[in-house]
Amino acid sequence: MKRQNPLVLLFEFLKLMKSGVFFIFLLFILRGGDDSAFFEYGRYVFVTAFSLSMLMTLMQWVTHKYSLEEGALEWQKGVFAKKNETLYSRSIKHVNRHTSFLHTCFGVTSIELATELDSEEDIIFRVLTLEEADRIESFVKSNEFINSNKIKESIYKTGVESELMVNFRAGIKDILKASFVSFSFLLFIPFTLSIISKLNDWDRQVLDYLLNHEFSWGQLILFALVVLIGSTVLGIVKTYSKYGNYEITTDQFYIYISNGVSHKSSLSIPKFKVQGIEVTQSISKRITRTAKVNLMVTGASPSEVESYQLFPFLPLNRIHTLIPELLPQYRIAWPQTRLPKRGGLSRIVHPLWLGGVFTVGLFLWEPVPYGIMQPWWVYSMLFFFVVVLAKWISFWRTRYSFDTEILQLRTGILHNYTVMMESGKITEMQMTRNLLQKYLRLGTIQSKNRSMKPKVLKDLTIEESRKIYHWYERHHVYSDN
Amino acid sequence: MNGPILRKRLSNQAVKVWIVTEITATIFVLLVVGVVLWASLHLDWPLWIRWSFFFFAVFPIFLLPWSMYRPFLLYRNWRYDVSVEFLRLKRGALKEVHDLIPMSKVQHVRMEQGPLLKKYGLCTIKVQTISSSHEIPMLPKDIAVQLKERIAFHARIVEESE
Repeated sequence: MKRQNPLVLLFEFLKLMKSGVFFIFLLFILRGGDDSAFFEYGRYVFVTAFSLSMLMTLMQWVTHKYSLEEGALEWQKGVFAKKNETLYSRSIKHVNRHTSFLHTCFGVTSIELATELDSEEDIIFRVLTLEEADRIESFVKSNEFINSNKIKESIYKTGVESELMVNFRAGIKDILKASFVSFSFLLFIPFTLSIISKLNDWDRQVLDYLLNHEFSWGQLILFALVVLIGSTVLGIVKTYSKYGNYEITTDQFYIYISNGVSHKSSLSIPKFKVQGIEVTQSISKRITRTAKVNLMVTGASPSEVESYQLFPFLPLNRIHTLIPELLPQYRIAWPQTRLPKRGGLSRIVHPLWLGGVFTVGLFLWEPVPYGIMQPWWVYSMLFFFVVVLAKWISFWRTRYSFDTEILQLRTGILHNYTVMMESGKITEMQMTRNLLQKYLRLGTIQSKNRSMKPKVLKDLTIEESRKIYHWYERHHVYSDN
Repeated sequence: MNGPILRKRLSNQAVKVWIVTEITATIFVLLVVGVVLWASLHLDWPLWIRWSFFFFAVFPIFLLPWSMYRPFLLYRNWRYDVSVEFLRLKRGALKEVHDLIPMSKVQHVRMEQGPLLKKYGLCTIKVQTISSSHEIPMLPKDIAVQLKERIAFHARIVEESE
């Protein structure tokens, strides 16, 4: 273990002087002869604060120690409570070397180690000799993990060109569906409104005439048709400009998404960075049997969720074949297994205490929303009905499955949400049960993943939750990122 | 929930230290509330403030039996174990929680000791993974040091074998 370079003290002192220069100037020079209480005590306070922070810096320098051993940086700090930390080189994101003018004067430099952990602050060595800085940098670079990734990336970029395969190209049918699902044909409402708001007086007279004039049915229908067709065409054109020429292609290592008619854009996603796949279906997409597919990808920092949308209106039966084309390990069927009946019981009973609180509140206050007079228990009944119905539907629609590599969960009350995760990319598994679940022999499984919110599957049988737990135990194989 | 059987427990002083912590915290809260209550009585503050502070004063006392009993539950249910591949934690009486953390996802191990824990020679181990962080409280210092080194060792072994 060793301390930081003693020059840190000088640097900190100068930094403190710099931030205190205004007060020094004011208290000791500008009003140096002023004996009024404010400046008199101000000087004392300043000197005390200044020496205290210098003392703190000194003590920090005495107590902070570090050592570099193969692959790990040991870090001891804390003036009063001692803290001992170990940081592995694989969790260091990048190294930033900064040399200010002052650093050059003394032939030293400073280094900032940005860690991948968002809970940890970055480690900063304010003053380091050049040799020590080199040693720390080579410590980070010695990390095999980073190197292996770098090598892979360089292969991706320059290596053997594998053949591009076109996996999906948005056709006319897809565009039409997309414009229907996005309700772009309703565009005429804001469109007409904006036209009306732009009319001047003379036009308004015309409008008044139009409104007061009695039209025949035929004229009205014709008018409606024109508006409808016009806005449909408008919607299709708009959708086309957004999703025209939409293409998903792949090679061995990358997924490429390109689109745009006049303004082209394209995107490449490294396959090994995909942490999971989310398939979401809103109600309108359930009607048209399309869905939105998102690839969850680790970003620059792990807390950063980057999700890349494949074409948002993919036909459901196409998704099925498309996903394994992009990512062969996801060769799977939709999740099938349902929750046990008693799972529904647990799910419905659990939120009922909330209903109890709500009912008591109603009983005490007897609110009259929107002036609708109803006895308080009507709202209570309504509340219970809605909660129970929602919980029952969510129970009824939940599906899950897990096979060699992929864990799949499907949830959602009105919409449909399916998430697929690779075992190697799951970072942690948690199994819980509350008292009610204990009684009903049920469990809850929660899987954590690097770039997604934790995914929770509630109220499956205890045997099944144990199976998933053991499944993860067997298949947690280490993979990059 | 028969996960794997975990054998390692927290220090047998854990209950005592938790109770001391609880009592200290309660006394501290009561002191603060007491001062404010005294002030509210003598400084003619509105009645509702007096009542709410009175409530705050009584609340921790009502809570005391629970916070005295909770350490026993915590101690009885806390288990952990380390293997080459996994760190496993099990805890909770009302809500039972099992954690399965692969060593390969461990990024950072830390040993912490506040003043109270120091008095009893106990430590807390904090483990940071890619996606979250975990804590094993109330470990005897020598065991904590060993555990920290073991986790650090295994977390690195995996890296090197890749």
